[in-house]
Amino acid sequence: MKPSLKRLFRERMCECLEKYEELREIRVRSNKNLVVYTFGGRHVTDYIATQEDIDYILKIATSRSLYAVEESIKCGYISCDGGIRIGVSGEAVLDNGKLRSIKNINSLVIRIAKSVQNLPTEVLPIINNFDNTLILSPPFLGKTTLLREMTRRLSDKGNDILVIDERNEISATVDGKQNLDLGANTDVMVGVPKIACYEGAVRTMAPDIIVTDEIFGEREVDCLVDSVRSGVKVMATAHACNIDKFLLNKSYAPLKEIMANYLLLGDSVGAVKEVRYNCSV
Amino acid sequence: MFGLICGAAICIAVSFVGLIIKRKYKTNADFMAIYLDFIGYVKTEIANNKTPIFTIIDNYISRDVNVFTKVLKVINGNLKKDIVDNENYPKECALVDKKRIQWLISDIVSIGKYDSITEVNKLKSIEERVKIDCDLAATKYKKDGVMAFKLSVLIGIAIMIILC
Repeated sequence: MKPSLKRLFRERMCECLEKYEELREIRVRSNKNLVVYTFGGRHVTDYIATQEDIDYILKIATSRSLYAVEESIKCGYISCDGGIRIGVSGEAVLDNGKLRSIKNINSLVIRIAKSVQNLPTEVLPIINNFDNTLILSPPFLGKTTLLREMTRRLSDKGNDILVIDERNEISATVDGKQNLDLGANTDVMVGVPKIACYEGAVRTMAPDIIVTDEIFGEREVDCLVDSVRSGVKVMATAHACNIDKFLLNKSYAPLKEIMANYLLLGDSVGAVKEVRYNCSV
Repeated sequence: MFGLICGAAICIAVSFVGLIIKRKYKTNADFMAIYLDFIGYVKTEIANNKTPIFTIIDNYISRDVNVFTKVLKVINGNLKKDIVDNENYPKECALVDKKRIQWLISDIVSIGKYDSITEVNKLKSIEERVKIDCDLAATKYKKDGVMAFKLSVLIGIAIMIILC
């Protein structure tokens, strides 16, 4: 286990986790069995997590400063060193009907970012001759990992890339330092609402390619389409199990006009189930 | 002549004790004044910048070197290692009341568990409590500390006169 991950846990929990290799996700629920996901599957451990374990993880993950990450907590996560993202859930604190914070956090999902060195062969033509690309996948099949690696390779090929990383999943930036390698020519905007970012980004950063994760809803699709009209290429991901069904959705239909390549992940983690090249209309 | 020398030596010794008592009061008064300033600084940093607590403390320590920042440096170092208190303070911190150091530790430990609005409200109440103790320490220094010194000098002189 990496030191950046190990430091988050108390001794007994750490001993339990060290039995597993290739950790992908750890689910910690107060007074429930600790659940671990590895590349080999789901494992329910004998260890019963306590509220003290959760408080300890939060204390270490936030450097005793929960308030410093309150904006990301409102979005349901905390980013830590080493590309670790902790999803949190608890009771909402409302202020005039607006979410102010989450208190009594009693459940955590710790996701450990992985980098892939060998890209699927279906991806290589896209890297070699890049055009607007959409990566689709059901949750937990590695679309962000693939997006990150494609970004790194495109960046190292000399493309100026702007990553709009609203949820800090792509770059895992902590205190201004990117924990995951996104290449030599990549600029990252972290924590900014994506829609607010597109227009300003095109004007001020003048990227060759805009990269973003998990596009959602009509407004964001419009922003992507506008960016492409401005001459910028885009690479994005979205949750879907089928390319055609995804594009039939009214909100996402405009993507047909701009997306040249589609990658659908499935079957196993990181495996390309379907690929379509040069199909923009 | 021997009596005069003995009396003078005792006078100096008693005055020195008085000086130490006065210094103890002054150290505590200064400690509380800086404590109050520190709480205000933490409050402002959290309210305006949401700066993490360790960074706030590091920045505060780098501004000045005094008894308070020396204590704070030890506390900060301990907390970074998840140790609440190992009482391993520098020698010059011996004059500071232990209870005041304990308050400082518990105040710092209590920070960072909630959102910024709650933290700032909590710090306001800490600030009020520290201000009361700060005023008390300043008054004690002016009254008791100075008086103890004057008294010890007088007692020293009296002993010297008696021995003469």
